Amino acid sequence: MAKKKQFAGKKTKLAKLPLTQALASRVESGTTSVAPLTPPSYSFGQAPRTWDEVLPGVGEPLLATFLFLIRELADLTSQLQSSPDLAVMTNHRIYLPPRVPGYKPLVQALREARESLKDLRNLLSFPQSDRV
Amino acid sequence: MSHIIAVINQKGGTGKTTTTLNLGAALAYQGYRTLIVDLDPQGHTTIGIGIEPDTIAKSMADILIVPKMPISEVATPSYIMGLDIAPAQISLARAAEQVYTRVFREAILANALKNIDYDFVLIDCPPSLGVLTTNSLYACDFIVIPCQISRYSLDGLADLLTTVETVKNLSIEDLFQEDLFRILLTMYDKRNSVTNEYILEQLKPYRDKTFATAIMKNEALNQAQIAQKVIFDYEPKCSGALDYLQLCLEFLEIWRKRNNLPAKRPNLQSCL
Repeated sequence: MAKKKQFAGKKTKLAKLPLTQALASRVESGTTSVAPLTPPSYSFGQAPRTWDEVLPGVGEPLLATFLFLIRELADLTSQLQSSPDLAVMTNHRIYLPPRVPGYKPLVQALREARESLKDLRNLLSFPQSDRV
Repeated sequence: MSHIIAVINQKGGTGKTTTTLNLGAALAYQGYRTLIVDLDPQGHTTIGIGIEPDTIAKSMADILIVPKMPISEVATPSYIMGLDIAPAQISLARAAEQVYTRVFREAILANALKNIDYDFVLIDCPPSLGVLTTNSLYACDFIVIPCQISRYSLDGLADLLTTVETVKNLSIEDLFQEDLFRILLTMYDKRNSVTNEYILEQLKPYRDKTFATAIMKNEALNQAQIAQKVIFDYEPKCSGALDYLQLCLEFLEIWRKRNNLPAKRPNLQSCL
């Protein structure tokens, strides 16, 4: 007998629960979400190919973090520009790689950024007299 | 005000301890002051964070036995900055038996957690529906239910939801009107397609009550237990670490919506 046919009529405790029945009837009547539970999959499995497809803060958290970092650095660069005209022109997009990176290079880039931030912290920790 | 989250499923082996530890660590790494309360006499959360139960001076057993003892007297810092733990050892099982004669025994933990200085408190519950779990249900304002992809986990979920209705004195209507709980799918293995399909169909009415993040089956999560570290410090680039970071961000989003707080960008000093 096919495996799935042997499941027929086998009700779990959960299915018999009044809450489940109430929720199921809500789904049927359309008063709540009807989207079926789908098997989870990694966002990187269907990774966006262009930056326009990446929604910051909504999609995969590593990509959101990467974008956030790039934006902050671009803002900082703008503030440090000597010419106000150049500052206006600076856009974070010029710092983005042409294609959205995959999981491994993304993690590697963020790790290296973290290490650089550690160096920065060490530099700022030096006593004033040690600085040139 | 601290937000108290109970991690409960009376079925054993669903990933309660792993979830408590790694979600707690992720919250701490995101900059939130977090306390983990080990309410399981097996003390696996305590061991998991690197504390040997036989070295503990005061534990959750004292909270149960000594009237009006605040949790600050047993909370101890972990090796992660911003993450404290109220540890447990096997004596908690005897203490739980002793409180059965006490009046208001279900409110002991809630009283011990009053006036504490943490952003989040995560309670790791034992795999039963006894006085310890009832205490955590009484104290909490949100419930995370780790649910393995198995028939018996669904039965456990049904029993737990019935208990929640009773302890929180809620009607069925209240239970889904209030944003009180989320189911977390754990140990998800894509290869088990027949079981997955059946369980996901059974959980379909709970679509809005299930985290979008699922924790995939991942060997590094088991290995981290042996190393007595959280996954972010054991193997930060494994799928388990990514899943728990994603869970943390999803949880924070739910928490912000519940409390009408503005959205916040991810913290760079996170668990990567």
